[in-house]
Amino acid sequence: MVSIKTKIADFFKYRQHPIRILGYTTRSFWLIIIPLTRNLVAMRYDIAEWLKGSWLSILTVTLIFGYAFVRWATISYHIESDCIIAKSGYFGLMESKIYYDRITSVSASQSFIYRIFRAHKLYFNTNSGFKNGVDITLTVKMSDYNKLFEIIDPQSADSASFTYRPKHSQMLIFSLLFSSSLSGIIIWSTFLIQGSRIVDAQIQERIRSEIFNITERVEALLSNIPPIAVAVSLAAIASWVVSFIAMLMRHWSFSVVRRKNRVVIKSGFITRRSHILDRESIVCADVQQSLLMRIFKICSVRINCNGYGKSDRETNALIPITTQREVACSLRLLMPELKIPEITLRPGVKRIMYHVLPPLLLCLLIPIGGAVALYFLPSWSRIIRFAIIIFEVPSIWLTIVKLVSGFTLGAGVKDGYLRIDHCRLYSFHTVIIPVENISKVTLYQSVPQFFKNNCNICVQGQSLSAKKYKAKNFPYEEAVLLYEQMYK
Amino acid sequence: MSSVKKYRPAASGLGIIRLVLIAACVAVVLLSRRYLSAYPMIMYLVIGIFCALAFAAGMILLPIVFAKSTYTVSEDEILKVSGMFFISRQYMKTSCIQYITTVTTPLSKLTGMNFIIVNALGGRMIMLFLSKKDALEISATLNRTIRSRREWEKARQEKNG
Repeated sequence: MVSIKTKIADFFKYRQHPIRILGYTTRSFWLIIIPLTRNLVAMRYDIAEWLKGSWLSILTVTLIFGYAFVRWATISYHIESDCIIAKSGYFGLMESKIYYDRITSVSASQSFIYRIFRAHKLYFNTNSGFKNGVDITLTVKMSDYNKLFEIIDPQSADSASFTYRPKHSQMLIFSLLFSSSLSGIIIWSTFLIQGSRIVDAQIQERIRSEIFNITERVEALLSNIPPIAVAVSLAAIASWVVSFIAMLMRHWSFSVVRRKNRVVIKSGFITRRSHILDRESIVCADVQQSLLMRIFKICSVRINCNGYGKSDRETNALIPITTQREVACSLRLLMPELKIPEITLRPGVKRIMYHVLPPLLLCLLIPIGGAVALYFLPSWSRIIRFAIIIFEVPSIWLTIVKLVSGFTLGAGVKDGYLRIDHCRLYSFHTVIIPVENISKVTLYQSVPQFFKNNCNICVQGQSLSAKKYKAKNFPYEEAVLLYEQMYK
Repeated sequence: MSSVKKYRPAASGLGIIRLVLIAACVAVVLLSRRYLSAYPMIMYLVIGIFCALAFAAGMILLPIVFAKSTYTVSEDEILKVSGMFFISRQYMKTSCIQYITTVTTPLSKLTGMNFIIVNALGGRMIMLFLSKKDALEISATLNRTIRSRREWEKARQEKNG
């Protein structure tokens, strides 16, 4: 007969880590529990009085916690030798069975709190479903994490492995280059919104007045600049700093290991992340550069693999930063099957104007629009002048980028691989994709292109993100020839 | 030779939907009498429209949908036939299947509330209101197909070195 002890052990064996219960509670749980605790302290731990006074809040907390506990208790998973069976969804009604060889990527993240409790959050991705949805998400114990990773990525003595580990200085440059004010704003506002739900209104007010004081002081220093300009600049700088720190923390201690048919990527300082990618599921490699990076001859290599680099503002970097000279060598090490074709088709210098004209028009339209606005709203002159500068600078930069792209665009095919060099907004991309991973190639012409006999090439890979790689203004006949070469 | 089996939605599923529709009608009637009694014209209109829609759905439309829906499962492909007046046919190659999700609700033996989600390359197919026996059988068949294909691919890889 099975003892109760064994039954309890079995129950916990197939359940997620108990820390997950907190994840299933709502945010309002914390909103109620903090004042409740404060009341208990204020009543000098008089439990009877506390129960009498706050019975409704206690009942609500119990219900929220009870619901979270039931959800946790009904969700289970079994790690088998060839598959994982998970009961997920509300109250474990959905049972999914995923064979390991169907998995494109497994991502594990361990936050600081999870590290204390020896728990890991796992995300399983396959090539199914829609867009970027994760197929199964589980919070598992350390022992199960090790067991699962040992099955998916066995580290036998005879299997050779190749490791690429960038230096800390390289990661610093990577974070500097790829931090943006926008992502900083997202992180900052998430922090403020989440924080404001828990933190006292008094503290919020103090933070707000402190920010206001700083803005006022800076404004006094720069009295000629409109206050809105000072506020916008301060917000942009602060957001960029937040984004930079977040980026650095996320990619600190970055390492890539190639082993048999897997690529293992690890990174993170506070939250540690590891990803196991199926090499065959990597759709393409994308060598990215900004104009500054191009001048300094450095680049970043990204990969498109379903599930990697999709969650938590993560980048899909394979080689975060490297020099142009080393990129081919590093790629050969991590993706030996990848062949980089030479560029055989270029739009040509005479087509440069097609790339430069749209941003150039934008550069001209901004001052014209500004002048019109100044005419009708003379009292807003300081703000309008500031806005003209704010919009003009990126437009000029875009014109320069497009001018350079006119010389660098191109495409080529070799040994079943297509290379397509294109420019998306401010960044230059060199995409190398195996022809068998291409789901669609479109050669299309706009009306002016039809008369000039030019066309755009648009390549779409077999990935859930349905990402398109577009290169513009190629001679039509040569583009058709390139297409024929691909499937020869 | 691959075996082909045809499945139909369980009739008990239709019964459950009818019960839900009746409950919804009762709720609408009660709520209308409680909040719209001051405007009898609107109240009778709301009750009338809702009950007529529920009747049409429960007695005419859903029986047609249930009668016309079939799921044909073989080792090579799955065929889902569904629709009311315009019949749609969805084919899915079993070689594209990534994994299977089986949804079984409590008392599903009685209610027929069993569903199978077939997750394939870039899309999914949902089989609705199956009897528990059918749902488990389809799930086992498809998982067996995935496993056998996996073993076949493994053997081919070993053969090719």
